[in-house]
Amino acid sequence: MIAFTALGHRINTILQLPFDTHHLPFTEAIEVDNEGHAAGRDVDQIRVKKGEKASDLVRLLRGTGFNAKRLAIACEIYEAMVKDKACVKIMTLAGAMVPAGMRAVVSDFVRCGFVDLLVTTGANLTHDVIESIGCHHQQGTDRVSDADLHDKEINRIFDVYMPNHAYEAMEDFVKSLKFDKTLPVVDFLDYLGGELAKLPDEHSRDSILVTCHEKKVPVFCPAFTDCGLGIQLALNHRGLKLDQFEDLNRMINKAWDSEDVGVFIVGGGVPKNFAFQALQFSPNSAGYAIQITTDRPEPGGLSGATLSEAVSWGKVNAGALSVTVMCDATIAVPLVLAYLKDTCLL
Amino acid sequence: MSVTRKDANQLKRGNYLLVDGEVCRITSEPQHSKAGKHGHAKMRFDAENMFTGKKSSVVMPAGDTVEVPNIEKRTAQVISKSSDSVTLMDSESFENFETGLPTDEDIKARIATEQNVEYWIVMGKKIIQRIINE
Repeated sequence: MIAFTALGHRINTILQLPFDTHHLPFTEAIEVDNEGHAAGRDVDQIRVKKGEKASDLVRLLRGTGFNAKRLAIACEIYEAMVKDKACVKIMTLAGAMVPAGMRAVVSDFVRCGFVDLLVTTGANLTHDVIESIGCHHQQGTDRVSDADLHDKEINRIFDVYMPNHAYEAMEDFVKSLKFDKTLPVVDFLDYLGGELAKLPDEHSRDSILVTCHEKKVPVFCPAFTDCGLGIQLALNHRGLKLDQFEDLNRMINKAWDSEDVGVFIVGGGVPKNFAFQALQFSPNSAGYAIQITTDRPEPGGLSGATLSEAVSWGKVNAGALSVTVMCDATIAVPLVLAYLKDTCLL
Repeated sequence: MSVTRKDANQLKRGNYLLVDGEVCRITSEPQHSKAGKHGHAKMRFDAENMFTGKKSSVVMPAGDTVEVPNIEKRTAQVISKSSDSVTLMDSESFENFETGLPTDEDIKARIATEQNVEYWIVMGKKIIQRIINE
């Protein structure tokens, strides 16, 4: 039998497929008053004054729309997380934020007590080590001949340059390390933070690893072999058996111990999943969830997956305070830090 | 001293070195990758464990020094052979001793009493290298 209500339905009866409504709009209705206004506050046409503090700008954004509003909501949720003394605050960090100048921003989150546990890619740690030993990233351009850059021994991360020399310097540093080859990765990274702390203060003071070591914030790096630091370790220290499964054990135990959990997801990727899966494999779920990403959910990848989707897995609580901000992390994260420093530090 | 130190850069196919404390023979001509994108110069070669025959592939910094075992080459006569060992008598000292079967399948099959063999003493262990005359 052929129905004529909607084209999609008609196709489905011909092809004998199960009926699905994904192409139909949401059907939740809103309240409208006699003058045709929807319930809720007006959008603030914000006024930015001269000398506006970053945290005040964020407060202004709360009355706006799109991702400006979401950024303000993210800040409010994070403030609630910090002021909730029982909350275990997890930051997951994708990409390499350090080449874009975010090294001290990330370490400040730790230094100020806004992060209790960090899950990161190896890239952030590699570039952190490189800056700690005195090498620098440089502002460059993406409008350049990459073949020429290769000949001139410069590596490009979008519009940031890093010379090959940085790898040689890192290799010399890595070679000098002496450690138990069967350590869990999280313990190795703590040891590494301790070793970097011995380097000249001007280079090491803002290191993510040094700060985590000093504040006793564990650093988990589930894909540690997937970075230059991991490779240099493997090539210069034979017989390495750093134990990733002990890391997994500790992360799962942390999830079981944490009834009150908040996650600050920067970028997605392996770090997002590592934190989320620990919650999934525990009786607990995140009561606060903030996500900063530029990815979309439609391609099905994790980095763009919604926090609502995470509820289906038991990773985020159905009643959680949550928000996703569609924004480049190098813009959003410093703003969140400025807001938190203003609202949460004495 | 049972080992000497050598620059990895100088290693060639057929050389012996210690890999993770075990004596290995280099079975491929080492490949080199110059300094640059991966830090200092690196090299790669295939290695075969002298005693177990286990094959592995080694990637290492070309500027490192490696330990090279000192090898003493001697001759002996085969006194007897069992399923898992061979008894030899050294041609000069007439000392009798037992050693494991050679790892090379072909030599292992052909070894027989009264043959003269070349054997090596490496890191305190003895190993039959080849049959001098059948």
